[in-house]
Amino acid sequence: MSILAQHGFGKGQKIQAGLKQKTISGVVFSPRDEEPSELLSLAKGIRSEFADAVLLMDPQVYASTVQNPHDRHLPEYPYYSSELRRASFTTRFIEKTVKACFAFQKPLPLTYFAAPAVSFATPEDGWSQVALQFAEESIEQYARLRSRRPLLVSLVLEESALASRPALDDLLDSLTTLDCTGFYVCLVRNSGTQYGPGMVADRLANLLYVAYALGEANEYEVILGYTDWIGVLLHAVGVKHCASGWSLGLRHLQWSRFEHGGFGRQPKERYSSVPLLNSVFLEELDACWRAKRIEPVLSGVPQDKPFTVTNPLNVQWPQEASTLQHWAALSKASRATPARALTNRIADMEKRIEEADAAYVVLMNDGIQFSQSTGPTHLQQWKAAIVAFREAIS
Amino acid sequence: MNLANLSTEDLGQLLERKVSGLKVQSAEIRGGQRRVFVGSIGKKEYALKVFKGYSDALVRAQRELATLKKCTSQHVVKPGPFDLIQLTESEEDESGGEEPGALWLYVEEFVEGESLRQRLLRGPLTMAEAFRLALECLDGIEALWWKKRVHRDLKPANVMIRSSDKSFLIIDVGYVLVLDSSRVTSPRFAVGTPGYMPPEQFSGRSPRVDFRADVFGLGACVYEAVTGQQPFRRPGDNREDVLKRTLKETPPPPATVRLDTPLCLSEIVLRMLAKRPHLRPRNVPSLRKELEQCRDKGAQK
Repeated sequence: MSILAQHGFGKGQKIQAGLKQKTISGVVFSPRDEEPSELLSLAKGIRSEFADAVLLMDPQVYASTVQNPHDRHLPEYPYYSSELRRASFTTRFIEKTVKACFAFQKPLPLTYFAAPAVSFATPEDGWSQVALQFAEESIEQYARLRSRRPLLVSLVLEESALASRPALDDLLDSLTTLDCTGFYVCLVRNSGTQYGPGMVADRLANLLYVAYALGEANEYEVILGYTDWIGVLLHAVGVKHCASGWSLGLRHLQWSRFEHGGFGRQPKERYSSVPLLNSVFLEELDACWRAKRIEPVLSGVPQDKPFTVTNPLNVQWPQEASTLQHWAALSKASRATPARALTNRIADMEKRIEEADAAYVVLMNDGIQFSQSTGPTHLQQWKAAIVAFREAIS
Repeated sequence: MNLANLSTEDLGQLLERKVSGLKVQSAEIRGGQRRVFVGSIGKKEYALKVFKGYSDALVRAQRELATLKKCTSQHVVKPGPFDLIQLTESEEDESGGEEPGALWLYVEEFVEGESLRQRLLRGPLTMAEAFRLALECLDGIEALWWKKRVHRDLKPANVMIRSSDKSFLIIDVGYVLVLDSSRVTSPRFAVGTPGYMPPEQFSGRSPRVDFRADVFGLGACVYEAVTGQQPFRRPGDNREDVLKRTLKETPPPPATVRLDTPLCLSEIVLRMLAKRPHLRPRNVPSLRKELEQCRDKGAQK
């Protein structure tokens, strides 16, 4: 698996630096955060410098249903309309939207066409039918483009859509009839969910199942947007690329990203630890350093260097350095699950979860305290999810 | 005229009045709701299918014929040179044993050979034959799906083996589903044969049936052809038992039942028999490639 930059507001030179350092292998562009002409020149610039970069644009049509939105540049895009309701999505409207969306993407030097989509809260609601209509219309219009650039159908699930396995099964029966190269999958987390790698185990198990059914069993290319450490786990079951950004809102999608006053705030200074399969606060890393336990926490990536020479709280840790280290850590963690048989990959993952759990125990026995999101809670959820997932595919 | 009592002579007389050149040669080769006779035009033989034309039966026959006309695969039975032929007027049956309805006939290729069902009575197929069964029927499934049609009743009785070249072909597309057509069967009526029809055809849950239903049916045929055992039927089972097994149980891998089964074939067949369509192979070309690779790997050993 490779990591892609989930582009958003305040990119600076992070993307170029990430591509140069090979901590990321591509970008998912966000039209919300660039004017159309800027997005075009950004994509062209990256392509000219990095010929092999994986580039796609998330059309973000799912944001068009947010009322009183903070969708910034999105209304400047020819395929996008704000504050839509269910009745707006007529067959004709869907057709026009898809056509305009592909027309916009066509001159961009992208690796994939990404289809527009709406989100849905359950696979049985009316919105899921609209999402399927978008998918089918995209496939039809894509065929007319006669392009060699492969097509990704976008699948935007709200967390509640993962609650019912039978309903997901029906959805997967439909999705796997689609003649496309793959899926760009985004999970919209419940409002108020705390940022972190944790997730309710049965929903995570169902997400693993969706990734497995699409990526492993049906060999679609699955790109997971707005993700973080969970991406490493999902990679083990069939996800090809994961996109993660520099702010919390670019690692953990919530509707607040498209609402006024939502959290697009900078992450509190964190360090991403491959051994812990989590990102910890710098003060927690500093506590490890003081307890002479920093070595087992470090990720072993070149971006760790400042922490090997001084105590973490003395390290200058600007967002760019932190982002590059985060990408490098995710990239290393996912490379540790090489492409072998699924059962081996899951076994590897379980072993690493156990090792992370053991590392946490040692640190906590030394008196180091972690917060809810930086502690080991997610590891128990991951373990339970793997057990449920394994049962589901047996 | 009563379908059940229709004799070769009766049919011969009816045909004489309706179609010139078409002769009835011999008595029926299979019975049931349709009676099938062997006929000929000149030296070429045809299967003559006679049925009572209630509205559903007539629509089904029209679909069957339209499907055969559209289907170009040599592994699906070919239609004859005529459209549907009405043999008699609709009339009350004097015995009271049948509902009213005219007798109709349609004509299709006569396949000289035996059904897979008859063949399996003598024991399982060789591995080479089993691979041919899978690949050739897959060709038929693909040709049907190309025209957005699903057979829905693939089973050993509906697979014939031509005596001339031992090739396999799919027959009896009477239950064919034409996507986007109006339903003929009630949604509560499960179409197909227990043990060969996939869960989505009878569980009432999945709203869509597609070619993967036929992949399941073919998987069950190949399983039986390799192992000699029906994957979901045990001695003494009734219809409900078989449906329950189809929903809940995974049959033992073919390689554990017949030890010379290549592991790759065993895995492919189990995937074809997956409970949910999304866990079966998602398109015919990729399944064909897997089967060919598995066959060639076995041949190299």
